[in-house]
Amino acid sequence: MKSNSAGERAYQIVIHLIVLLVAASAVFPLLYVIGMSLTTKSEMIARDYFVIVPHAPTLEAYKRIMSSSVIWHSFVVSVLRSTVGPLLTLTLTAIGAYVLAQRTLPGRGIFLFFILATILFNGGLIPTYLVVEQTGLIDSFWSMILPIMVDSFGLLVIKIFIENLPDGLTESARIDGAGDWSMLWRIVLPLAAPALAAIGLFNLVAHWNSWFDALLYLNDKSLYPLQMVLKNMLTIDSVSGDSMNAMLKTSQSISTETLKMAAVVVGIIPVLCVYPFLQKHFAKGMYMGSVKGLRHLLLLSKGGIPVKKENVTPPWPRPSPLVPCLAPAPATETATRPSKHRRPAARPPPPAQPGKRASSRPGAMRERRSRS
Amino acid sequence: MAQPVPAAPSVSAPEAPAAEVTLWRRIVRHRMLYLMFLPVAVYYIVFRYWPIGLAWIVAFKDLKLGMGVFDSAWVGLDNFRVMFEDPEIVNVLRNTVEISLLRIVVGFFPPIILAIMFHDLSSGKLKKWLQSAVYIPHFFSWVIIFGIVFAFFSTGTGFVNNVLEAMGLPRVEFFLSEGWFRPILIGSALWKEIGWSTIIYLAALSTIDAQLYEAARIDGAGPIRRIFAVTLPGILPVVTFVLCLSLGNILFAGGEQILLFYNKAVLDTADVIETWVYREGLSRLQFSVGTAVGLFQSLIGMVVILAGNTLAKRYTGRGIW
Repeated sequence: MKSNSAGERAYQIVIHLIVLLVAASAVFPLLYVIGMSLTTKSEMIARDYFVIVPHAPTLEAYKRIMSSSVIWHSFVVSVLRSTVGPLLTLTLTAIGAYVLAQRTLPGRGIFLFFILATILFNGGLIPTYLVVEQTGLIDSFWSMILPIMVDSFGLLVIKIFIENLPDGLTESARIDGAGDWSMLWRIVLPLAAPALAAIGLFNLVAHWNSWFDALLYLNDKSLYPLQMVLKNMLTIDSVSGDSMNAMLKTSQSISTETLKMAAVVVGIIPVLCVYPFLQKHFAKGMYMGSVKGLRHLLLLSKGGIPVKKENVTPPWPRPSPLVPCLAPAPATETATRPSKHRRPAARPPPPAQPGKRASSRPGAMRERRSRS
Repeated sequence: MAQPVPAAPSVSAPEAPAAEVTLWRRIVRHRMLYLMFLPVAVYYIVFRYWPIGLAWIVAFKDLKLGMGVFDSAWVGLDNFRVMFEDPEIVNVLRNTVEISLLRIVVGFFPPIILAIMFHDLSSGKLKKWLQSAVYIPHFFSWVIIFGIVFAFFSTGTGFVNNVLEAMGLPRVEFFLSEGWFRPILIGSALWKEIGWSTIIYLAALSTIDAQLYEAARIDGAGPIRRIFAVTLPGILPVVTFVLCLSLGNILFAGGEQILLFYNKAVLDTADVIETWVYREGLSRLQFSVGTAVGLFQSLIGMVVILAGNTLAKRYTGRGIW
């Protein structure tokens, strides 16, 4: 027993060290970039560009960047697309998910199949470009919004979420004569708000980080989002270092590297601002939701479309401990109003996987024996 | 919304035979839902299925600039023949497979190991902080990642080259070296995603019954033994699932990243399907061959995922799910 606990301690020390190292390697580059962005040109040259903590930090690079109309303009474009995009996405996702969550809807399985199939198969770069061209979106702000307006995974996550809302709520609203719109607005949306917020935040970051669509669909540089301008500033084969040169021309006190790093920091800051909010949603099963989505899709593609069967049992086990936000409320609570007769202790124990429970039992028994 | 028709099933349709009417009546009863769904349906038709339809047409045609999709001539499988005969495209296909296999080989296990370590970490508060730290790079765009990589590996001023010089070693032109391009590409992708990729495993790990660990401990299993006896079997389905998905991306080598990282000097080792389709297909107007390559890419991906699922089901008995 002694040697065992020594082994445990050694193991803990080793994994602590490794994990600390990984975390440090995730953060150090950021600190280095920030340090670089604050260094003066003379210090750079004096220290041979080997600066981690600048001795005489300067905000000159940020002043240069802030004074650039190109950067400001692209910043505004990025902010616009990162607000308009997620708002549209959320609207369509909520409506689509609500409709697809209605188990009695004829054709629901077909809709689902066609939506989920797009996860596995897409037209590719050139056909998508042709469609954007044919819809007249080339050189339009909307080319960065409309083609990625609905994310099938997100739609699916919200749909599962709505399906797992306690039936009692929606039923009583129906009895009160609520139509679909008021049902969606007054009952489903408030309840699904956390899940929608998660989708919206991830979507926001995706929009903020996106540059490839701008490269594809925009010739008009005045519509470039920030990441696209940063790309032009940073890449080696830079076609248009013009904004960069313009920024440097007026200043001799900072080097190109400093300016580049300041640009990187400007691109990062908004993400870091959203990050704490994003973090709340990590564990809430965004990811497992997508796993379920694919599982669902493969089930659909294999055994035809189980429209009717679905009404009885969804294709995945319903009480899912993996996904707290997607797990349905316990049926015992939703079926009846919480009354005083029903004490928490009277609730039946949660059903566990029989296999795991059985295999763990001998150990538990041995524990009891060893104690006595 | 427009006409305030009573939403409840009206009792006014006894004319037709019941069995036939029910579906139609169900559709009519749900008309508001269909109306609500219309924008979503339009989106999927225009921006998802129209491209798919176009892909199947353009890949078998010779689409030229200024000529509509429907005016251009059918050429059968010519575009696909070009794809497998043109040495440049063959090289691109080889690069794609090599790079994405490298990505899988290098990038698959570290997140699993890291997730297990996080799972076993005894200190809860510290664990949370460390997790927050390793997730961060996932949320940076590839442009930002390129900027950071540039700060570390650029020849003149990069951190790594500075360290090399301080150690008395010569500076290395990382970005212009064919040998260094892939390590840098894959290393930076690993740096970006290693933390985030642990999430799916951590979710699976959290479902493992704590009693199993207790039992293993009482049976005298040390920490390493527990990993092999309890942890790994517990997350095996998720591991298979992730492997299957990454194999499905075998022809997607991360074009967005490569487009930023590559340059003419490393084109031979760096050019992959996505970059080729962008550069030659779109910018140099080889629409049809580019579409054929893209179609091939998408089809292979789908086939691999479906086949992976079937195989996993056959050999592990439970499929990847």
